[in-house]
Parts: sequence; C-alpha cells; structure tokens
Amino acid sequence: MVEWLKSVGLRLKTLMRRRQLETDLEDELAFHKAMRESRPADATRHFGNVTQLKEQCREHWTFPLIESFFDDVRYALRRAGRAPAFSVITILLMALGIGANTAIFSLIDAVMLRSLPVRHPEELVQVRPPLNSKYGVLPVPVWEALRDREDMFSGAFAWDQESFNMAQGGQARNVDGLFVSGDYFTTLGVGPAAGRVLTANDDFRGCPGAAVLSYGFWQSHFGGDPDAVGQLISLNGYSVPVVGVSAATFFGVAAGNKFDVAIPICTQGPVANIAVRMMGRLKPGLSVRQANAHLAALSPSLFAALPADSVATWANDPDFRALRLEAEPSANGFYWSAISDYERPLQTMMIVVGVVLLIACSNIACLLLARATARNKEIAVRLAIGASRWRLVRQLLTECLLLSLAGALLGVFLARWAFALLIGFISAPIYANMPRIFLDFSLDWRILAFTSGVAILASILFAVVPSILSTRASLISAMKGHRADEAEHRRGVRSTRWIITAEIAFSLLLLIVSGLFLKSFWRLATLDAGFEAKNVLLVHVDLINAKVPESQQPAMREEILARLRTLPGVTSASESVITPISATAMGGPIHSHLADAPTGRGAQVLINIVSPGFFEALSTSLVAGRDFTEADTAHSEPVAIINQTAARKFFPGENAVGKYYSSEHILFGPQQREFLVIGVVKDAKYASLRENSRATAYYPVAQMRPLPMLWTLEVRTGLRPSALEKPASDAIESVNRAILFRFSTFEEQVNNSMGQERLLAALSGFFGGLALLLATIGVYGVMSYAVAQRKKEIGIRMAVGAGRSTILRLVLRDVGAVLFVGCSVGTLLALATTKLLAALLFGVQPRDLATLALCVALLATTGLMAAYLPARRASRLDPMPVLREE
Amino acid sequence: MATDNGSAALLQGTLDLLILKTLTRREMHGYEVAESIHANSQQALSVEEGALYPALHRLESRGLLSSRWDISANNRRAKYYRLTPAGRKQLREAVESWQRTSIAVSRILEST
Repeated sequence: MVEWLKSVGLRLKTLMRRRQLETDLEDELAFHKAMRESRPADATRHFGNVTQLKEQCREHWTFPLIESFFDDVRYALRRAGRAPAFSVITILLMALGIGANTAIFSLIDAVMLRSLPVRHPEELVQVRPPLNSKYGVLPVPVWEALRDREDMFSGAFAWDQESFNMAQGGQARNVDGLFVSGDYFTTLGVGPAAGRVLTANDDFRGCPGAAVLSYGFWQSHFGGDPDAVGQLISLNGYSVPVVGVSAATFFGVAAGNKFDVAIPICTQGPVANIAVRMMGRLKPGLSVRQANAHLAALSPSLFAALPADSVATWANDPDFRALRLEAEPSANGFYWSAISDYERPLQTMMIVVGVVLLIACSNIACLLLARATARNKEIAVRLAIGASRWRLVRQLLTECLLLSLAGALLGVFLARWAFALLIGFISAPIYANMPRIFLDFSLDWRILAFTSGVAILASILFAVVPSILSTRASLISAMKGHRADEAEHRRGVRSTRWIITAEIAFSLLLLIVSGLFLKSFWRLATLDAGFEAKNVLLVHVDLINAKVPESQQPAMREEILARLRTLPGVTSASESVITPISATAMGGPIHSHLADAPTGRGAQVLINIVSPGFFEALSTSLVAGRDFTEADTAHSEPVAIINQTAARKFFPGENAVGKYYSSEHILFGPQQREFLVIGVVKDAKYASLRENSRATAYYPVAQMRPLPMLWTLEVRTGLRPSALEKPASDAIESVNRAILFRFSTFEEQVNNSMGQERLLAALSGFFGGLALLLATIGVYGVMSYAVAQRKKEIGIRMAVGAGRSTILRLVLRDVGAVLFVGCSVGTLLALATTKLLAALLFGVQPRDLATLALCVALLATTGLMAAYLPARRASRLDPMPVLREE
Repeated sequence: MATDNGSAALLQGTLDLLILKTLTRREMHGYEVAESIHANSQQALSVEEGALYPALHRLESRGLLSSRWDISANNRRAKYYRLTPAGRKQLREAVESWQRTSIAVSRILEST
C-alpha cells in the first residue's frame, strides 16, 4: 500500500515536470550509448528499439492508461476535424439513436421509476381493491374505518381528484382539484412554500373550507404573489380562503397527475363525493404481507358495514363487496390508470428504440470499416514502429467513444424536445373527465446514467469489430504501398456484409412492428362505431353548482336546447347522461316476459338516459320503430329504445318493437316499471371503441326522476364545432348567467380514447420509417464500398468480354443474397416476437401475413433500388484505366 | 532480459533480482549495472538496454531504488542508482525465494 502510494506520488510529481524527465531519459540513454561506443566490442551490437524502450520507461513514471487516453482524445479530435463528414454523420446517427432512447426512458422514469418527492416514500402503501379488479376507489365509510386502525398505520390519508370550476358563472375555468383528508400533507411530510398546509384541524364535518394551492398553480395563476394567501377563490361557486402553498417539488401522489388546488374532504358541498383513494404509512414493524393479511380479514366486515343501498351503484355491486382490499407499496406514487395504460406501450417503445440504436450502430460500423481501408497504411506504420495492437484498438475505441458521447450530448437535447412531443401525445387523457396528464422532463441521475451507459455501450458495439479488423492489417503489403492486399479487402467486404445483413433483419423487424401498429390504429380509426363523431359539439352543463332548484333543472335544460337548435348551422341538439366513449357506464336489467329470457347477471344491459334527437345528433340510425318525442312525458306510458344486440338477445326471432319488458333502477322510481319498446337502433360503441357490441337500452329523460347529475348536450352542426362555441355560450348565458358549462368536441373525445394506439402507431411508424431509411443508406454505402473494392475484378471481367448487364447482375445478385438472408432472419425474428404485442393490437393478428409480406416487399424493393446506383456505376466502368492502374 | 547464445533463458523477475544484488555493493549508473552483471556471470548473461532501463525505472517507481545525477569517471553527467532500505528488504526476500526455487528445480532435474 505504502509502495503503491509512493509510486502514485512519483507519478503525480512526474506530471508536473514531464519535460525534465524526458530530457533525463534522453541523457541517460545517450550516456549509455556513448559508454558503449567507447568500447569497440560492444559497438557492433544493436541498441534495440529505442522508441519502444523509452515508451516502456515512461510507463513507470506516468499513468500510461490515462495519459494515453488523453493523447487519444487529442488525436481523435484532430482526426474528427479532418473527416468532418464522417464525424457529423456518426454524431447525428448517435444523437438520433440515443435521443430516442433517452426520450422514451425519461418517460418511463417519470411514469414508473421516480419516487415521490415526499418524506420516506418507501414507507407508503396504497390501500385499494386488487389491481386486477376494475375498481380503484373506496367508499368513504371504508376509508374512515381504516384510518382509525392504529394497529396498522402510523399515518394515513385519503383524497379524491375532481375538476374545480373557478369561474363564477358562464364558461368554465377548470382547475385540477383535490379533496384531501386533513392528514394529507402532514402524513406525506410536505411543508408549505407560503402560508401553511392543511392539518387535521381543517377537516371536520361542516368545516368552512380552506384551500392550499400547488406551487405551480401559485406561480402560473398568482405570479407567486405572497398576498395570494388570505385571498378568497371561487371553487364550483363556493368561496374558499387560500391558506397556503405547498412545497415546490410536490405535485400530488400519482405520477402524471398534478393538482392545482386542494381543499379538505369535509368541504363536500359542491359535488357528492362518494369515493376516495387511500394511502398510508404502515406501522413500523408491520410488513406489507402482514398488512395484506389484516386487510383480507377485515374486508368482509368493512363492506358489511356499508349502507345496503349506496348512491354509487358500483358500491352496491356484490362483486365489489366480495373483494379483499390490498396494500400495495407505492414509493413511486399511486397506481393511476390513465398513466398505467401507457406502461406497456412505453415498454414496447423502449425495445423499439433499442433496435433503432442497434441499426444506427451497424450503419456506423459499416462506415468505420470502409474508412479503415483508408487508414490501413497509417495503422501499418504504427504497428511497424512498435505500437501494440491493443494500444491501437484502444485508440480507435477512444475515437468512437468521443463521437458517441458527442452524439449523446446532442441526443439529450433531442430527447428534451421529443419528450415534449410525446407528452403532447399522451397528455390528452384516454378517458373523458380525467385530468390531463402532466409530466415534467427533468434530468435526474437515473436518466444521465442511462444515457451515458447507452452511449458507451453503443460505441463499443459499433467500434469493436471494425477496430479489431483494421488492426489485423498485413504489415508488409500495406507498407509496400499496395492499396492493401486482396484477402484483406475481401475480409472487410465480408464483415460489412454481415453487419448489413443484421441491419436489414432488424429494420425488417421494426417495419413489421410499425406495420402492425399502423394497421391496428387504422382498424380502430375506421371501424363502424355506430355513430358519426365529426361535427358534434359537446356542452357539459352544470346546473347543480349554479344552484338551480332541482325541479327547474329539466325545464332549464330544455330551454337551453331550444335556443341551441335555433343557432345557424345547428342541425340537431340533444342531451344525455352519458356520451359514447367517455369510459363511463350505467347498467340496469331487462326482464323480458319470454320463457327462456336471460335472467340474473345475463339480464343486465347498459343503459343511457337521452332526450329526443339523441340518435339524430350522433347519427346513429334507427333500424325499426320510432325515436323518443315530446309526447313521451312523465305522464305517458314508459317507453324504451334498445339496440340490435339487445333485440336479438331478449326478443330472439321476433320484432322487438311493440314488446314490453320490466326493469328497475334508482332513476325509474322506487318500483319496478314496465317499458314498451318503441324502437330499435343500430349497435353503437358505448364506453370504448375496443368493446364488442353490448346490449343497450335507452330511456327518455322526461320519464326519469330528476336526480342531481351532470348532463352533456350534443349539438350537431354543419360548421366546425369550435365556430359554434361563441354563439352557443351566448345562448346559454342568455338563459341564466350563473350556469357553468364547458365545451369539448365529440371527435376529440373519440380520438383521445385511441391515445394508446395513436402513440404506438405514430412512434413505431416514425421509427419504422427511420429504420427503412437507415437500411437503405446502409445498403447503398456497403455496395458502393464493395464495388470500389472489386473494381479490378470487374475491369478484368469487362476486358474479357462481360457485358454491362452481366456486371449489373453480378452486383445485384450480391445485394439479393444479403437482402434475402436479412429478410429471412428478420421475418423469423418477427414471427418469434410479435406475439408479445398481441395485447396492444386491435383487430389485427400479431402474425398478420399481409403486413409481413408488405414489409418484406417494401424493404427488398428499397434495398434493391439503393443498390442499383452503385451497380450501374460498376457496369459503366471503363476497364482500361482500371487495369492500367494496377 | 536476453541471454547470450546457448545460455538458459531466465525466469521473469530474475533481472530485478540481479539488478538489486549488483547494486548492494555500491552506487552505479545503468551501463555499470549491465557491465557488472555481464562480468560477474562470467560473460554468461548480457543485459539488453531494452530490458535494463525499463527495469531500473520500474524498480525506482516502486521505491526499491533511488537515483541522483552526478559526474561520471569520464566526466559526463550520469544517473546513479542506489538501493533503498526497502530495496534491501526486497532483495533479502527475493534471494530466499530464489534459493528455495532453485533448490526445488535442481531436485527435480536431478531425480530421474
């Protein structure tokens, strides 16, 4: 150890007086030589390789690896400057490959890997129905019972996300709101950036309410003004004082889900708040497994204590009440479906960009190999004067590492920009009514480590083969000034051919993957949904918060609809509780009077409450019977319209119109009611485009009990829906200035629901195209190189009478072989791996032959086209100068 | 380390041992070290410069030798090497281990 320290010390000293030591060594050797020359017996002996000797001596007083690394870097920079085209291309290729990897990885990091910025995030668990059940929330009584279990939690909190409207009337200004339990901030250990955070004292029944702003909202909405604390803000028509601002790093407890304003759960005036999400810190010493055992034992009694008939229909579902709650470690935040829907696509894309990087690497490797020919002589000279091969390989690797790191640096900037683009894709929530996904690009250590790791790995990947091959040069022929001997070149050509074959295989794989995703997206986008999404403006009206008495609400909505219908361009307008593809659903039974009609669960169908004109507004065609009319009132006979699937299921082989069935629902009143089927409509997608047709029943608004619900108006127009917003808001305000409303378009809602497919199609389409381009460039480069190497052979062939077409065929046959092997391997790869995509595909098989064939044809054609240019050049070769050259 | 024609190739590390041993007597410059080894082995071993100087520098960097510049007998600037205490200790250990090895090797060679 001491010895080692001493030697390090010596070396450090050397760094300071490098020149002194150089001259000393010079002197020492000169002295030796002089001594020897004075003795004739020795004078004839060789002194040996002085350069090598000096090199070996130097190694003992320096840090050879590090110093030579710096030498290499200097040399590499000089070389890079001298071959700017190669350097720029390499850096760009790397930037593209690494940028894509970094962008996707940073999304994965933000969504799945990053811990919450709170105290001891690793202690947090979420308490919820099992992840694979369709439920994610708890009824409030269950949360309250669990909160008081001091044997399980050292702290617990609950929250619910809700859109708060800050406007005091008119068009809504929605902010992302949170109802939180009093312990929310204190349990998380999140402090205030101004004022104070909420405490348990703020949360009691009948509390006056207090709002905590998020730091981001405070900055964007109040400009970071400290006087914001103490001001009153209007949330859903209620005035609430701002008591503080939460810490700058805190965005909420679910990745991608920020909040703007948090108020205590007790402030439940505005919206009937019936479900919460819960997290807690387990008591020290209690393992997750023990907690789960407790929860499993506790669940039946918790659910048994719920009122038999909750307002929320899901809480009444026996399926829900049979669930066992689970504790799930949640250091990375609450499992939020809007974002977890993107986990699989992101993982898939991570693999795709990995393959893109491989393709970029093989392109660079080909370039390097071609360039190595030009360097043959330099390398031979260096080998001849005593450089070790390892030393040369190291130097070539350094050059590549440098280019790769430069590419990575550029790639990080690219990634930043690509991240914003990606967020644009996924921020629109798949489900309507969900807050927008909010993610921040921040370079944490994980991303930096990933990027530099990828850069280093990539440089090794693309540099190792070329540098080993190029240092295997045969000294003699290279020194003799030959352009290098034939065997050497054939080896070079052969290696590039292997690399390009691999590249073609990978490119084909990516093309097939993108083909599948594009087809899947196309299938989804063009399927017959049973409605026409274009040109429909949706108006979400909130009469509850406008404090309109319940009894007057239906009439007021009628009034609004009547005015909307008179607007220019409007062809029809209607209202409904549910608009299709909003991922919300209501259910109820159909008790048909036929003997063998489905009963129990089989009798359950989807239901919707609609006004006359609903089917016209959405362009869902009526197959039989009639639509609801103004004549269907609370006092007339109860009527229903069912879809084709329901008609087939409950009235098989009969005309459903004119038949009766009975049903019960909280909206129909206390008793079972008898309904007359007056019409059958075409099957239309209900909650999601991906679902199969499901039996659905529609009931008229006028015959339902007026319940406090949020209604959506559908307005079909001949104009652009956005052009209708101004006149529509004027019309609504002319009815009552206190009404809160918000616009969206039906098309947007439908498109957003395809977010996952669109993301996959767009990204994989882009990368598939990129792969095709890279493969084309690769084939072109490699064939140009091969043709240049075979000039002599081609010249001779032509001299002895080979025609142009023979030469053309000769070169193209070469490419054909490469393409054939590459495509075969790529096809096999695709057949073996695309099964993994099955869950992400819609309406297309993972081994879709049409896609496969199309991709192979596309790649083979572009490959042949790329090779045609060098082949033609070869066939136009003038044999005489070539032969004279030799 | 190279040997003259016919003589046995030396095990690695032997050159270090020879240099250390040679320097026990007095301070020497590189040329003298080579000469001394040559002479003391009755011309059996000759040390090539290509091996000698890297070895001297290696031993110096390990702290087994120290060096200084002085004027030589023929009035030229020369670098003189001298054994350090650590070098002496290392030599003792190396000699012991060498003798053990050489006895062992001889035994093997003598057994039939």
